[in-house]
Amino acid sequence: MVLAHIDLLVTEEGVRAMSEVSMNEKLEIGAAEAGGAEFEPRIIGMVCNWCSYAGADLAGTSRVQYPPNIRLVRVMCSGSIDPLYLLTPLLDGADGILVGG
Amino acid sequence: MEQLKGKEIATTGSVMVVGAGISGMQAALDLAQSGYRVYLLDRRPSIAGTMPMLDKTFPTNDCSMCILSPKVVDIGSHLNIEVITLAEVVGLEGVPGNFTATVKKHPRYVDMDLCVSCGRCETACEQVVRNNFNQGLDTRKAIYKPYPQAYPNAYVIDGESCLSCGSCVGKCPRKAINLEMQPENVQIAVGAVILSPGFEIFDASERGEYGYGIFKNVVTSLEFERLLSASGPFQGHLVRPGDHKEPKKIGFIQCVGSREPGRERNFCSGVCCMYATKEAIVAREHVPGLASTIFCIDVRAYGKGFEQYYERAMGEYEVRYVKCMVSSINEIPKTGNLLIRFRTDDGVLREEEFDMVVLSVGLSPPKEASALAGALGIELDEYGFCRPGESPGTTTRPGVFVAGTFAGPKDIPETVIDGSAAAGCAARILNDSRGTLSRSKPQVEEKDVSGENPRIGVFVCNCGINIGSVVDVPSVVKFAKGLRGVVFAEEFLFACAQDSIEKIKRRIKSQKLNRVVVASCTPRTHAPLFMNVLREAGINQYLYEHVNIREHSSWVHRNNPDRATVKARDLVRMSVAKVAKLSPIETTFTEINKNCLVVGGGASGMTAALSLAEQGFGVHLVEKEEKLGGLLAQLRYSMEGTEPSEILAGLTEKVTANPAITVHTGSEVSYAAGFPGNYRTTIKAGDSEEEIIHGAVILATGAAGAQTSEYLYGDSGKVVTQTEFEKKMAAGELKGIKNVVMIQCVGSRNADRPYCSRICCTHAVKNALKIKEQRPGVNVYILYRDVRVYGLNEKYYTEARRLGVGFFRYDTDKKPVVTQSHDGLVVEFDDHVTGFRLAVDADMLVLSTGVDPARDNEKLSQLFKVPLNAEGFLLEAHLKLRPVDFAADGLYLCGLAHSPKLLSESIVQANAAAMRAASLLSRDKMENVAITAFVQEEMCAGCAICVRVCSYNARYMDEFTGVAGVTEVLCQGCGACVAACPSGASQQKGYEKGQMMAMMREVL
Repeated sequence: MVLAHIDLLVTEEGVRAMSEVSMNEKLEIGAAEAGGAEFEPRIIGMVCNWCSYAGADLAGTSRVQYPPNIRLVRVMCSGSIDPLYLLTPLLDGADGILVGG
Repeated sequence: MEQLKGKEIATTGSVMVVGAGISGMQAALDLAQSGYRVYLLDRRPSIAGTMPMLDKTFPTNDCSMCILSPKVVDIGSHLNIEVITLAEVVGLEGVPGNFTATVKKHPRYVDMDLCVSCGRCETACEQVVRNNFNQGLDTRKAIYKPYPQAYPNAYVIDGESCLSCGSCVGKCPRKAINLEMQPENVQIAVGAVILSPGFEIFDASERGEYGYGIFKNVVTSLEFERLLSASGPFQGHLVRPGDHKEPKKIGFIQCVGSREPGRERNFCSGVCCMYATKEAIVAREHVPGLASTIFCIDVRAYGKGFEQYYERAMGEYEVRYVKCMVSSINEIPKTGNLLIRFRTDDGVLREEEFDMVVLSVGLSPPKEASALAGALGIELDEYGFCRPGESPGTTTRPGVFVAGTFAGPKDIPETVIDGSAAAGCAARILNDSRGTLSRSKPQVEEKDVSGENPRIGVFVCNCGINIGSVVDVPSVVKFAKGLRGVVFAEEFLFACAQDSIEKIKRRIKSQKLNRVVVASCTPRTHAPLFMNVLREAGINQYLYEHVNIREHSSWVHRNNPDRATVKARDLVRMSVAKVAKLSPIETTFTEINKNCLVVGGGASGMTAALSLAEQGFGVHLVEKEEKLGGLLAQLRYSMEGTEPSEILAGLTEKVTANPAITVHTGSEVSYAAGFPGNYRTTIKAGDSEEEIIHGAVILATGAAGAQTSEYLYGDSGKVVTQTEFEKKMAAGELKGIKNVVMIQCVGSRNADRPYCSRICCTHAVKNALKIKEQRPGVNVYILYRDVRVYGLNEKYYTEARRLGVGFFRYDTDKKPVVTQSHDGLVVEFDDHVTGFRLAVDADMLVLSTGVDPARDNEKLSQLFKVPLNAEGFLLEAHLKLRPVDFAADGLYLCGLAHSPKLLSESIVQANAAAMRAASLLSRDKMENVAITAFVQEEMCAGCAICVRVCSYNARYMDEFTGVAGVTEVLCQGCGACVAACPSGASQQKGYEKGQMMAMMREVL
């Protein structure tokens, strides 16, 4: 079965343009706090809904404090992760990717 | 009486479940899913019982809260379950099928519909009291929430501690607090009642010699759970309460309040050996190198996977077990350390110093047991547990059933099984009123928005102060408004509050929104709520994205509000990019065939078949032998009184007489195909084959009595197995014998068969008592490694000792030696108490050979695609909380096929499996997983990689077109085939590559 697809109503450029405040800016704030240009990696986490995402939730309910330089993307299974999902952020400048599943 | 389809309804289609621990929750869920209305009561302000207090669970070391939470969410969101907290039953009138229960509701002083759990009241309250949830290791306020994940998600005032000062009242932003609330009595009509009030722990201060309550570093096992727990008083840092130092050496003392006939506690609590083992393992994971010693009488590791867990504790975690009696504990005042004084087998009194002592406290009946028994007119046993009726799960009052530890000490999987079984008992008497009182969601016409430009609404939640005190919510809203496609953004104090929900619905209509993003807490609990809002507003519920800015931002970056805010904005931007590209997903359904296949015609299979037939479903019962009965036909005596032959005759008669049950004896399953709700199975009897269509399967294929060649078995006619001995006894063939020796663990608990067969100790004691009854002069010697006569059966062990049955422990490196001389058998063994070597002239040597998995299990596992464990028994979906389910819907298991167990336990498990099957079969149709894979056929190269990677058999190749397809009812939406597809033809609904890439481009 093929579903009807919506045309790409939002262009990539358009979406890019609206990313004014991002992790990049946040890193500058972080660097300023640290008093200099200390390297801080930008990390993307691809996490499975059933285990690692739940683990990150538990970290929250347990109030575990960890550095804010990670962005988590929820997937239904780590087996569903296309290599492109990992390459795209790397090409955009991410420093590391954590796959949790 | 109501009329339904022209048929008179004689019963009331609702059930009251008293006690909302894991057992009551399971019963409530099973009943609600099968068309009954459920009133779930608890005397406490929140549901879930004891499990939330536990840190990890044995033998998988799963986090207790993590496995429990989904069930709590299911209860909370179920339309047919009404949770009534702070409530007790004070009266029950009527007859089975039509009761009127009088329920006393105690005041909460907080309106649950208004309270959003923001916590401002707690800050305002100045009355500090003991925190019972943390076992008094820390404090709470008089207005409190028992623990962060508690359901109902609302505060409560502890009426006994509250000073009525009113300082909280004005601080509540939603005016939810009302100090004038009064208790009220309500009357509820129900068809049946299930009692699952749980247990209390034994008060350790009754054992004065252990100094509990005096020595600060002596704690109970439940306190120790809280010390280990990340949500406990020390955030999971294991410290001693006395000086907050990390302990390096811990002593556990077993049987505190268990196995104490002198204290009128002549029962084993069944769980302490395993929880102490678990606590020792987990403690060592907290503090590397920590040394634990467990002082015990026996190690009762009798459950599925327990023996292996115990072995791992001794090997990998270096836990030391000392079999002895502990006489006292003394504190060394200077260090706070403790001296344990104990007497070992050799009679020597020893002393050893520990940093900390954990008392493994036993299970007691709940405090309100006698009040409950009075109100409901049921009887209690000599200890205060619920007295069983004629069969397991019943009480002395018809229509009132019992589940969980109220019926006697047991572990979590057993109480879950009890919950389902009790639900099954209730459903059996309420078959005619199924569906009469249940409610279903109203249908709303869905608006077609597929041609429209995205009009996205973003709603950002403050969660009181939980998010708002860290993340700058107004700035996130402002940021969202600037994102492309977003036409509306707004903040809420509590997005999940009922008034907010209504507001979102109005915004969808007034702003013509066709996509929604909510940024609040975790989607795992809250996404379904907001998706339902879309549905009710007439928008496809899958045009929705959920952003977690609480667990993943405000709560974990508390000291960095600026960056937490940036992270929240990033996460919102990612989801807005994805939601813009989402397509509607159609919800599809599968019709469910109302018949069930039960494989195995022993006690379990017959019990399950009868339960299903009485609940109105058709059953095909397949037995490979020519006669029904299985291993039950081998038994001659039972411990409880009803003879196995009577049970067998009763079951066989009822099964063969029931028109809804088709019995296929001398038959085997030769082929199985299909999916939940629609299986096609071929049954082969001799040369003839028959195909049957059915909606569910219960595997009750039993096990086999193990064989042995040890101890001269086969060489001497005087050496028999426990079953053979029982038959001889029943046939009166034991005339003239004087000495009977029994050897336990023959072929069990060794490298070849690492598990404990669970039933042998009880059977040995049963047969010892029987021979003593028949021939009081006979001497019986039982040579054992650990006496595992657990739970309420402990009293039979005590009775055997009282009657003079000799129990002698042997070690595996010093096994008994059996020799055959000219005038008989001689058994030599060491007496572990005197140290003497004894030799007995045995007229009969009885070997407890244990239980082997059925030989057919492997074949069965391949036919139905269900897993086996390392030992060859069928493996359930989850050892703790899904003990009778396989991972796939529609497949269930029970009895010895699952693991060795006693007859009464098999019967309960069979009732549970039948109820689980009924909860599926009673639905007309099943909602399929929506986010399934689909194929863009023109792109498919026909390589079939998707078929190979799919774990659920949901992918296939169409032989004619050469294109891959998806069997949607089997697809679980994992997306593994999507990642594996080299041509990009396989996609997953809601996670299409274009949608995911839109999100990934926004991640930085």
